[in-house]
Amino acid sequence: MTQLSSNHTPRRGRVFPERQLSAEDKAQRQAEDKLFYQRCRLIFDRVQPELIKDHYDWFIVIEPLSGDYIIDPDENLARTKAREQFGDKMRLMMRINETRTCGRI
Amino acid sequence: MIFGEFNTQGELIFEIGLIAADGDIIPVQALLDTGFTGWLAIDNQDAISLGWVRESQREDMQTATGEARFNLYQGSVLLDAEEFAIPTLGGDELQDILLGVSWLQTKRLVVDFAAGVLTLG
Repeated sequence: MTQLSSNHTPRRGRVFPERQLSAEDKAQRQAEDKLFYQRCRLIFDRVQPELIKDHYDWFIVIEPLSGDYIIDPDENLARTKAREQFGDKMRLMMRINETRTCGRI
Repeated sequence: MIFGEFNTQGELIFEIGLIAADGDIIPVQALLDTGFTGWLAIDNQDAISLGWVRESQREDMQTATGEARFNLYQGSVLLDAEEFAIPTLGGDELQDILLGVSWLQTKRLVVDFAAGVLTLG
């Protein structure tokens, strides 16, 4: 049986607001993200024109170091396939359409 | 079915429980955001503090300010007395915990601002 936490009044916003990223950490993460994205984007741009013909709106998960990728029309299956194929290797999920994105937030 | 509330700006607020890795349940107010196509979105530091498993995958999403990547975690929430294991997006710029429209695949959302009715499920 799950236990209720007694000391927390439900509020909006951060759960642990005291845990903040330093400006330096944030900047480093942004730099890493940019590089990571550029590598994935290169592969995406290369394969999309061919894949988009028969696999429009399919999800694609790209592992940038090997250049390998998996595709699936279902996003949960795509995540599972990616886990099985790539294990611990960092990868990016995108979508085979004009937006490149998996959804909106 | 759970009852939510409208805040002074007309936003849709629901209380859910975030289930930490140690079993602790933290009640929070989450914002139902119909501009979010996923299940749950939360700040990265919060996801890590909850002990949620971080996947070796990021996901490319469209935001109001352009294309951006989010981390993927295995989130765990208590909603309407039921536990859900859900793919959770983590970001560094999120101001709120967001509930996305994926919940509406199986839960009815009733929104009637004039009548003061807001329910989910």
